[in-house]
Amino acid sequence: MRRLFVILTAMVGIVLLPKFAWAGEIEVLFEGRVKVLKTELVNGREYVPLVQVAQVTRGKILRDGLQVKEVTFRLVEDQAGVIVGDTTFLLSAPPVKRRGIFWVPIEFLLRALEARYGEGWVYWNKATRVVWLGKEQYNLRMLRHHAYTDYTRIVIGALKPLSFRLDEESKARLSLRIEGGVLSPMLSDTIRINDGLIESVEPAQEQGEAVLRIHRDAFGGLTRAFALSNPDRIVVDLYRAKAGTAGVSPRPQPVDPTERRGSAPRAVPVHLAIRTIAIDAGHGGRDTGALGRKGLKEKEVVLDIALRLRRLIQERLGIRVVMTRTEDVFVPLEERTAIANRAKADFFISVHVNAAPKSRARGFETYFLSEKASDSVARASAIRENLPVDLGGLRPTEQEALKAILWDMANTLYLKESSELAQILLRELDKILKVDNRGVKSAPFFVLMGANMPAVLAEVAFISNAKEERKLKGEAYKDRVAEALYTGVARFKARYERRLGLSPSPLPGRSAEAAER
Amino acid sequence: MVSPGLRRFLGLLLLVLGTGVVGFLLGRAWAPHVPAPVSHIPPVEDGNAVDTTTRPVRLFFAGPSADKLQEEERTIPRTASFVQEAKRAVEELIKGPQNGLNPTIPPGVKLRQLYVDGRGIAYVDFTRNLQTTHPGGSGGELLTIYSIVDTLTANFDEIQRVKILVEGSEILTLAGHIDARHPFKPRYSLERIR
Repeated sequence: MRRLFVILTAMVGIVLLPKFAWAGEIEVLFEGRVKVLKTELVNGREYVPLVQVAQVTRGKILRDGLQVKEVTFRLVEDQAGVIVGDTTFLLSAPPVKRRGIFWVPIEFLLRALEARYGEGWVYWNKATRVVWLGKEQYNLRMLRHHAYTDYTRIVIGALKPLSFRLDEESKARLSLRIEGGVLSPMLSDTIRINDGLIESVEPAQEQGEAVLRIHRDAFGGLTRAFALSNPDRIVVDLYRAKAGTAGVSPRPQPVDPTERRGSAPRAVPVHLAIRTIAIDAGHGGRDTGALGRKGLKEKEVVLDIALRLRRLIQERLGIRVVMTRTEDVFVPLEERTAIANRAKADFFISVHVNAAPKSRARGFETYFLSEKASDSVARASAIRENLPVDLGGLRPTEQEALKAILWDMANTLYLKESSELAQILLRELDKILKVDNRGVKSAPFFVLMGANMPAVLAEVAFISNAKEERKLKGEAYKDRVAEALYTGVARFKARYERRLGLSPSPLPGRSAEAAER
Repeated sequence: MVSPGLRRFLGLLLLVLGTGVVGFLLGRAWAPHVPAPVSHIPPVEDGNAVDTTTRPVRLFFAGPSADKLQEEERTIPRTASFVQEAKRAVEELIKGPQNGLNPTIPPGVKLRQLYVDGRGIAYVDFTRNLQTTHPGGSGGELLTIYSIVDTLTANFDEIQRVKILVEGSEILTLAGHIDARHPFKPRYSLERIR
């Protein structure tokens, strides 16, 4: 019996094996033809040769791109912006050239097929890796979200005007029902947002309508939904709850009376003040981080401390905190700064605990990104995605160049501010923790790259040290660490705003800002 | 006048000699590059016999408080190529310290391959457990990286930068902190910067 099972398993394995080998292939099924495209990994992303895209779209290879019917795609090596007619769309990664031939990320294939067969007809299933011509034209294709200071906006792209309604099913759940909506198969996955306002958006195809379920933090504020056209899209704005109604009473405390002296309150735009802080709890999910000898996990300790820090900042400073994770989930390193960038956070703090083998090392240290490390791949994508600068009227190549210059300038500024923040946090940890102060250091930290803001990483204790592990298990020590980090944050905020000639943090300030809009 | 027989003989002689010279030159050009061993040999003093079969290497291990690298000197066999010696140095690093310092590479990790390109970048390829059994922590990760980098750059002039690979592939990070997509330059002490 057992042997039979083994044989059967082996047979199933043999049948399945060739499929594993197809991991680097995409099947394109159009007009009764099957074409298999071989993909290759370039910098961790999947690319196809432009020549093959031309074959399946029956397009014409140009010297600098591809023409499919009347649509021309102009490519520039190492630039993610593709020029289509007089508009530009961004690829997830830039086209690359190999032996004189362009290779493009696979989403380019989908765009090119759409040029041939029309929008809404090109279906792509990531799991089975098949692209095909759908029987039904989908009309909902894209979901974007963006965190603003006091609300988060979700936008779903449509191919035509559709009617919809927004239902509040509970405090924590809203649903947007779109009549006659057909979701693109690309929209099948739940989108995790976790920006402190919305947890996730879950798309679902139901009879005669498409539904987007929006899961948010229990204290919900105002919501509104409306349609925009050209291109057609439906917008849902979810506002942050007013402080009073949320049950959180902001008690802005003067952190250090001396910080308040010196500058008379002036009428200055509120948006120069620090409004959003991003907190990154290191590791998570399958990435456990360092382990204590008694089994304490870094991912759990740092999340606990990060959540304590969030509460302190929200309660005492009344400003917004964006978390890169609020539960035990895996978040890729580059996604962490992307979350902070999208939320336009003013600075980024990554919380970690340290480890060193066979060592009695203990204490804390803070890090910022060293200068040379900023020159990296991460930088290029950060330029594309994060600079909130409107460069309308310039050609895409000029925009890229200008953005690169702006990014360099910003980086130099961030370097100085990051080292200052690292210094301030270290001083506060030193005052409260009374263990070894291991200093401010700089190193090419992956998680700090691509941050469009000052960014630091704090290693608050050694989980590999038995005594510190024991302390980290208790509540009191984690409270003290959070308290020290909070004080550092408040001090940096005060100093930063004083330097800009602002009065120390205006009280919550939301009303003033709302009036501005 | 030269007889046709002699002329043929001379022609043949020229051909043979020519081939020999070309062959010799090609042979030199294609022979594995052997660095002149002279540079490694310590100066002869007082006419005492000098050991030319071994050479000293400085290995960088973690200091007791894990915030610095400290050196330990060890002797390894001298070989015809510095790459072989570099491999041996990394293997010694993997074996761990002998006089009180702390190890930087988890036990059981093996060096798969080491090669050096024309730009002075050493590619050091380890087995997967360098990542999976690494104890983590930024401190521990920095010590591991720079103990490898510093050991190679300090002992071999031919190596200026070091790229760490795992199972033949580029890695993003070793333990979730430090960007390992680019070659590292040495950083002989990990001392606090201020």
